[in-house]
Amino acid sequence: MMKMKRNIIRKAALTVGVGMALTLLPSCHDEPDYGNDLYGNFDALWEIVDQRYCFFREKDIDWADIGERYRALIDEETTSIDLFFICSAMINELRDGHVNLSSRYDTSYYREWWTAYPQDFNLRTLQENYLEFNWLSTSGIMYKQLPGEIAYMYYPSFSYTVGETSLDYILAILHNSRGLIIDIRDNGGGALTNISTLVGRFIDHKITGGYILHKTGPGHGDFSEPYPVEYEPAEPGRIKWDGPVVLLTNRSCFSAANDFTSVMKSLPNVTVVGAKTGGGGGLPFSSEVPIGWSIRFSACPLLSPEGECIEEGVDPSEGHEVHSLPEELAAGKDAILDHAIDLLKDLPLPEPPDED
Amino acid sequence: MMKHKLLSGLLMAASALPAFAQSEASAQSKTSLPGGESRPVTSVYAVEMGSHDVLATYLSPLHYKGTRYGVSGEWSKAMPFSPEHAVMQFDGAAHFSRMLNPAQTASMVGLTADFNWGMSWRTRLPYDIQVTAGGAVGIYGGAYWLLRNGNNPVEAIANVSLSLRASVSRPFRIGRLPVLLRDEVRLPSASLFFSPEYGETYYEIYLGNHKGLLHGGWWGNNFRIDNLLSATLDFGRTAMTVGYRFEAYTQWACQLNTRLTSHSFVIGVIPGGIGLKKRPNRIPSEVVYSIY
Repeated sequence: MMKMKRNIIRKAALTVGVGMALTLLPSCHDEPDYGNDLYGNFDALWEIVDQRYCFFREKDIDWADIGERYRALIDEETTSIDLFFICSAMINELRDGHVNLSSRYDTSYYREWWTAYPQDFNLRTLQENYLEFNWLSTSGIMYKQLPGEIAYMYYPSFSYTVGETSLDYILAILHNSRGLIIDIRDNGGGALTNISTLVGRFIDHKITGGYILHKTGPGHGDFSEPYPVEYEPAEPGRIKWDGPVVLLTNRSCFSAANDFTSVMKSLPNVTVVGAKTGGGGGLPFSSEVPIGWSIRFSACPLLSPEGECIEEGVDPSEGHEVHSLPEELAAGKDAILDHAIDLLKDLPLPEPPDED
Repeated sequence: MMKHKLLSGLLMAASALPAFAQSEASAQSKTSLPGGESRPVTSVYAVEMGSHDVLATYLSPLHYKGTRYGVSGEWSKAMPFSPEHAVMQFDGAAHFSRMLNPAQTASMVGLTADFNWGMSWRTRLPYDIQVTAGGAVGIYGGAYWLLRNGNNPVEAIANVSLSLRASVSRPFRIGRLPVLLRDEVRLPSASLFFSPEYGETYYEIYLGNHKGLLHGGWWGNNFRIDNLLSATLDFGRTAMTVGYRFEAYTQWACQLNTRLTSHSFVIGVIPGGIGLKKRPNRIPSEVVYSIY
C-alpha cells in the first residue's frame, strides 16, 4: 500500500515537473541580439535593410559593399550623432525617397529624386494667372472651369481624403466642358485608397491598374507572385467622366501620385502631359534599431498595368513631355498647362443629356 | 456499453449547456437531479496585472516591455453523467498591455482576448491530492499596435486551438481556514493561426490576396502555455483566490517571429466558495463541486 502511494506521488511530481519544464521551454527561433552600441546599431540597420528592402536588383545596388564602406567609418571617436549621419549617408545610397532614418533630432531624406530635376510648376503662377485667385475647393481639391470651357482640378496631395460626394459635385459643376485637366504636380503621395476613389470615375468596367508584390523572405530575390490591383467603376448613381482627360505631372509626383499616374496612363481617354514622375513605387515598411531610431524603407514593389517597375517614375504619354521653365513660370506662363489646354480647346462640348 | 456511456455523456453535456449559460447570470446556481446530488456552477472572477514582453518581428526586431492588465472569468461544473469525475469548464479573459521599446522612443499597445471550453476528468489520489486531465477548444485573438509604424502598424493574432489541460490540487488548512493549493496548466497543442507573409502589407490582404495567411500549428511553430499556480481561501459563502500566472505564446511562420511572455499576479473571488468549508445546513454528499 505504501509502495503504491509512493508511486502515485512520484507520478504526480513528474506531472508537475513536466509542466514546469514546459514553462521553461525556450523558443526554437532566436533572433539576433544587437547591442545598443555603435556597431550593434549599425549592424541592426544594415541587416533590416538587407533583409527587407525590395529594390536592390532593380537599382543594381551592392549592399554588402556599401555596408563595409560605411562600417569602416566608425571608430572610437564616433558619437551617436556621428553614427546617425553615417547611417543616413549609407541608406541614401539606396536612392529612394521612401527611405528615412528618424531620430529625435533629424529625419534623413534622400532628396535628389526631385532636386536634380526642374520643378516645372509654380503654385502662385497657377493661382494668379490661370485661376485668377478665384476657385472652388473641396476635399483638398481646387477646381474651376477655365476659359474655353475646359475643366480643371488641382489635387496637391493624396493625403487629402477624396469624398465621393465631393467628387460628384466637382464633376457635376465641371460637366459642361470640352475636357478635364487633372493637375497633380508637386503631389508627394499619401493614401493609395484615394486612387481607387478617383479612378472609379473614369472607368466603366473593372480594370487591372497594376500589381503589387511582397517579400517572402530575407533574400534579395525572395518575392511573391505579382497580385493584380483591380479598380472598380464608381457605384451606380455617382457622376462619372467619360470625356477626354489630361493628367499633368512633374518630377515631384511621388509614391501614390506616381501610382495614380501609372493607372491613369493606361486608360484610353487619358493623356499624361509634363515631366516624368519622381517614382516611389514601393510601399514602405517601418522598423527600428536598438538606440530607438526608426527606419522606413520600400518593402513592396508596385508595378504598372504592363507589369513594369515604377520605382524610377512614369513617363508622360509619348510626344507630350513638356517642361515649364522657371523664367516662363516667373512671367506667369505655365507651358505644361498651356499644352494641356491646347489639346482640349478644339474638342467639342459634350452633348446635353437626353430629356428621356 | 462503453460507447453508449460516452454518447449519453456527450448528450448530457450538451443538454447541460443552457443551464450552464444561464447560471452565469447569478453568482452560483445549482442543478438538482431528481433524487440526486446538486452540482453548482463555480464561478471565478479575477483581475490580474503583471509584466509583459513582446517580440513581434513583423513590427520590430526589438523586445517591447511593459505592463499587462487583465480580467478573467472561469465557470466550471460537475457533469451529470459522472459528477465525481467529469467537469466541464468555460473560461474567458481579456488583456490590455502597454509597452515601450528598449530606448523608450516608441510605444506598443496590445489588446487580446481568449476563450476556451473544455472537459476534464478528475480523480483523487492519496493524501487528498486531486489531479485532472482533459482537453479544450479555444480561440485567441487580438492585436499589437506599434503606433509609429506606417504600412505595418499592427501584428494581428488569430488562433483557434485544441488544448491539453491538466491540474493538480491539494487542500490544507491555515488555522481553521481551508485553502486549496492548485496548479493548472493549459497547453494548446494543435492550432490554426493567422500570419501575413514575411513582407506582406495589410493593404495587399485588403485588396484580396488571402493566399498563405492560415497556418497549421503545433508545438514546433506555435507553442503556447498558460500556467496558473493559485491558493484559494474558502470562507464558506465566498472564496478568494490569489495566484501567479505565467503565459507564453510563440508563433513562427513565414520567417516572422512572435513571442509574447507575461508574468502576472492574479486575485479573484469565487461567490459561493468551493465547498471546502462545511456548512451546517448542507449534507456534504449532496453537493458536488467542480474545482475540488
